[in-house]
Amino acid sequence: MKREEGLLQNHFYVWQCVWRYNRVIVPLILANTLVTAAAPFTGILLPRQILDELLTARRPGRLVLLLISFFLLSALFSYLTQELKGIFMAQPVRVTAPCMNSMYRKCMEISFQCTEDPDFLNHVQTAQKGGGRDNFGGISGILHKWFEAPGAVIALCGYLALIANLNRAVLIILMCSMGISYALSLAQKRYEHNKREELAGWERRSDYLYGIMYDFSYGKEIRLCGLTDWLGGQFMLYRDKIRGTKKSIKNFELFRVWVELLLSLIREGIVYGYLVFMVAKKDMTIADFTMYAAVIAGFKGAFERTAGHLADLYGLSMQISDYRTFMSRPDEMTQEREPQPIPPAPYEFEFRNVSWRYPGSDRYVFKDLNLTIPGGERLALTGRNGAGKSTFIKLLLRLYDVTEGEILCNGINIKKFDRRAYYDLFSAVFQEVIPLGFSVADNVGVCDEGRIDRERVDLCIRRAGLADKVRALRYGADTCVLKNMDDEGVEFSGGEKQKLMIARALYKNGAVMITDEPTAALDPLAEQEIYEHFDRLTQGKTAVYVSHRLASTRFCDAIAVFEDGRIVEYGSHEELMGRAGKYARMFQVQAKYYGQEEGGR
Amino acid sequence: MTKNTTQERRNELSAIWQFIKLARRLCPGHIPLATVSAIIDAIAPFPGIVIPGYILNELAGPGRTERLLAYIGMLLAGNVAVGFTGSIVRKKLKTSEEKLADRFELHVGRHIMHMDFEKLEDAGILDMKEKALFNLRLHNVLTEGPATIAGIFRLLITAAGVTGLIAMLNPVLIVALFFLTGVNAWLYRRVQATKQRFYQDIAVYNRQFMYFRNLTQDFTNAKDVRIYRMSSYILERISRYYSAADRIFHKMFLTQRRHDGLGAVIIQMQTVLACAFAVWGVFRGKLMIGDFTIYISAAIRFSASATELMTKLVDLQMLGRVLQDYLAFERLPERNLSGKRSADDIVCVRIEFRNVWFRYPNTESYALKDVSLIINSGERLSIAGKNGAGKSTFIKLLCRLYRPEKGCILLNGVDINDFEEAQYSRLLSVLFQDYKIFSFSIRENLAFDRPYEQDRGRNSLKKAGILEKVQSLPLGADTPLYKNFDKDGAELSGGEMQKIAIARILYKDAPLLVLDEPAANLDPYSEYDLYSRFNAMTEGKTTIYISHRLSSCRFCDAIAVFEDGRIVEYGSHEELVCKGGLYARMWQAQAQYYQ
Repeated sequence: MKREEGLLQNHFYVWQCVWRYNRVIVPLILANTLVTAAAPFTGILLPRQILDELLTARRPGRLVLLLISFFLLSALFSYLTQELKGIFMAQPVRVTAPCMNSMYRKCMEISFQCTEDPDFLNHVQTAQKGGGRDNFGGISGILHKWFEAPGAVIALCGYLALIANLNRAVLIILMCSMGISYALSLAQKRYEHNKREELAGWERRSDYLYGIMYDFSYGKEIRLCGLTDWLGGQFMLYRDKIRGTKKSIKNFELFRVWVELLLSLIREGIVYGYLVFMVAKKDMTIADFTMYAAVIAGFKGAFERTAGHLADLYGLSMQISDYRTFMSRPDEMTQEREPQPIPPAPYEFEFRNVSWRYPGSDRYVFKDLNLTIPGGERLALTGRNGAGKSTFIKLLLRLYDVTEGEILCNGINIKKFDRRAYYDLFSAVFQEVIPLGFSVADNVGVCDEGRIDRERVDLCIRRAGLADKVRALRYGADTCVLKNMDDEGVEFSGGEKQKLMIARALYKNGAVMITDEPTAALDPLAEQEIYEHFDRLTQGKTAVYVSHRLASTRFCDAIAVFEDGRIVEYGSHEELMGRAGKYARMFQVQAKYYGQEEGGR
Repeated sequence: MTKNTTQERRNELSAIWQFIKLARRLCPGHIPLATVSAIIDAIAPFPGIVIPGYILNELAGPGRTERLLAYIGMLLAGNVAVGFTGSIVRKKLKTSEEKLADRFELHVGRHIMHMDFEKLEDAGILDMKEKALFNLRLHNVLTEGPATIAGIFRLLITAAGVTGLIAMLNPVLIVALFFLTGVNAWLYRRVQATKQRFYQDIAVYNRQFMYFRNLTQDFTNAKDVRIYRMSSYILERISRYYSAADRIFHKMFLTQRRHDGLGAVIIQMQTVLACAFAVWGVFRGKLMIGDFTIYISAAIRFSASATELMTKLVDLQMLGRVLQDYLAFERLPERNLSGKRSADDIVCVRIEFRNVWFRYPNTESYALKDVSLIINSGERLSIAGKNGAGKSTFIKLLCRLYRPEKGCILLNGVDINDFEEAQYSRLLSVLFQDYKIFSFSIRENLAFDRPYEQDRGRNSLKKAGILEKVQSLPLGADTPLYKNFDKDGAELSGGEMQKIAIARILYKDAPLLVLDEPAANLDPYSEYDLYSRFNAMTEGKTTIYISHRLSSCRFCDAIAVFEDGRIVEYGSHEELVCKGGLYARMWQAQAQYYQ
């Protein structure tokens, strides 16, 4: 995939961000440029003056004066350098923080189907480096480089001017060698950059394995299946690959270093020879000789610094490409430009000839699905594993977009609504139970974006059957749900977590209630309690309930039975039982072991 | 106070020493390589300091051309030789550093995987791990640590060389330079002390920030984040971190830049002082003009090395502190693998729990109270009870993940702790409630690293009722699961994943089978299939079945009902239903809907 943006545009983009978020950076860079450009020359010019004085006139007063001014100037410059650096250090993050925040927002608000795409996941990995997650990479890194580079360039020009003063030919030789080594550093950066996607994939792989090894919750499996060596071996396998790739980058670098060594050998040989020749011919004073020797030595450092800065500016700018292309990455799910307003409740949904398959796959999960969920009706979905029930929910919630056909909400295609506004219609409890490292109250009321109504939180906790547990906590609903975020946090059991998720759904009070196997981890008595309250929980709402427990489907007005991506039966419990079809068979299969038996009741 | 700080220093140093020893064990070539590299880098500056002086002396004095050429040749050759060998060694060292860091991570990973299991469920240990690893990562200990130690070594050599050089010319100057360096060190320590405080302040925020940042990119909760509009909440938390960090860093940099500025002035003072000494020397005719430059270069190099040395020493101190946290974590005992007994010949398994009492570490109340139970060879036992009654604890003890506090667990009359670790786990096939499926191929999820036997695999998948599905996948059993690493990966439904997990334990084919809620996500047919194949699956094996779906109790030979850590009822389904106790109540709650 092509992810490059123009390198100049990338710098332009960074400066736009600076202008928008933190303009102080501009004068700081200007000031630092002046100081760092001038600083090296006090160390070159003043010692030369001193030496000159010492070798010729030897006036003590003059010498003392020179020494004092040497001290004052160099002290001033180095103090200013530190002062400016100190002020600057705190600045880049004020630019990257908003940039990273918009990236985080995009990660959380881009359509769900992107989050299952490995290409997108790799892009997240590279983009956050570009956005400046680490202090010296991406946008942040580029600002640090901009802070130092102009001063270094000017200082280099100063060296060049001094050398030009000495001899034009020497200057040309220096310029040539500079050109060659700079081209090599750029080539190296390009080489590095081209390897990054390969590295990103392996890094995610090894991070995954690292996660398994280090995550305590895999402990049982690892011990009983004896996975230690296997996991460790796999981890090292990917780390070895990463190191191998990095090694090839290093070989390139080694080559560059050698070429530079050769260049510097030629450069310095010529210059030193020339200087000695001049002094021997008495065309140059010894003071000038030391000065030029210092210039040559200083030139090497200044050039390496400058070339390094410029190559970094180039390399970092390529990282910015990753960030920018991420930020402008089109959402796979289109968003209506002028969304329709959400109609008032109750909500009726209609699936009209809906077909769906994973992007890139040619196997349809759904083919020509038709179904209407009347407003205020409770629909149960049941059917075999993998028949498409969870996918149906994802389509209804518009976490996926249909491949063909349309889904209508009160007669309007759901693609016409604003996605976020559409999400607001739903209270959903998913199969995977993932409480977040917030307090109980925040977990329940998170959808209110900070304006949480505590009374309602308490009410929902009560209705979800979690009141006793929360009351027993030391900080009540303010207790953190994960231990690792807060030393006084409390880990909830599986059933309790499930109830917490139910409380969250109740708090949101969406007009449509979606539940995917909400009682899988509950014991029979707790399960019965939820069933009995289900009526109250869904009061007058359109509700969709996925369950394998056919006992629960009884509470619903209609039942849709899925098989291979189609709805094979539809009707109320009684109707379907009367029809003696798939549902009835399924029910009997499950009821079989619950049937009357000789000793029972 | 001083006593405490000496003790602290000693602890830090001992932590670093242990780290070095660990590095030697993990990557034996690393330390010699780092030493060579440090020596090369340490001597690298010397030709540039000394030779120009000789050239100058020659120029100012006799001016012999061949001498001059020889000096220039030496200077250039020295630079090239040092640059050339240095570049090779540095490249090797960098790779070796990466290797060391990787092996270290593996080492810690293996430690975690070998740790006593009961530690894993201890929230305090989790916290300890998080803190230790967080600091290792925050301070880049794995990559920076060895470099810091090597750097100190290098700087010591350079500083010693330069000191010798200056001392040859003028011992008084060296005293003055040392004095100024001392002043600088004092300043630097003060900055570091403040910085330490700032880092402590920021540590709390850092941990939360990392969590919330990961939340934005951990797409396992992507659905919830979208439906419940969590993005604003999470971003608000992240912004809160940014503003707190901004405040703290702003203050920190303010203090730092004043001190750093002052430090820089002192360094310049050292240079000018050396210059003045040299001028004085030349003025009095005691010093040749070439010595003048040697002096100044040496003095500049001295202050640069001394300053860098100070920063490195503080880094070392930080390293020592962070390593102490880590080493405390590493000291946690690994599993006690004391059992020696072989279990090779065991085909049938009889289990006995004899008056087993157990409570989780750091808790008051017992999770199991006086549990006695016999499961005969080939018998199928079902365990029922409410959430939190002790069912899963019972399994964990049987799996030897915990040890009973009182009483014992016997397998064919032998205490299970007497068996050799790997031998014992060979006897068990366990499906945990929170089973884990890995982002690997189906084949690897069944056999892991052991060679995959086609027929056995097909058989297990068939018994688990997932063979057809697997065969329909383009790569069959070689299909990777999940899409996070492979576009062609299979995204199976929850029930199908559970079937893969069942196939895994069937593939293992051990004489003792433990199934904890194997049907939680299965559809009624699959559940029924599982039940009806149950007899074939468990043929000749001792089986323990835990389920909230009490229908499964009917085809087990016996049912043990747990309540509050005790076995309160035991018997067949019919007996227990007749008895009208807890089991009958639970049964009724579920069965009523099917009648």
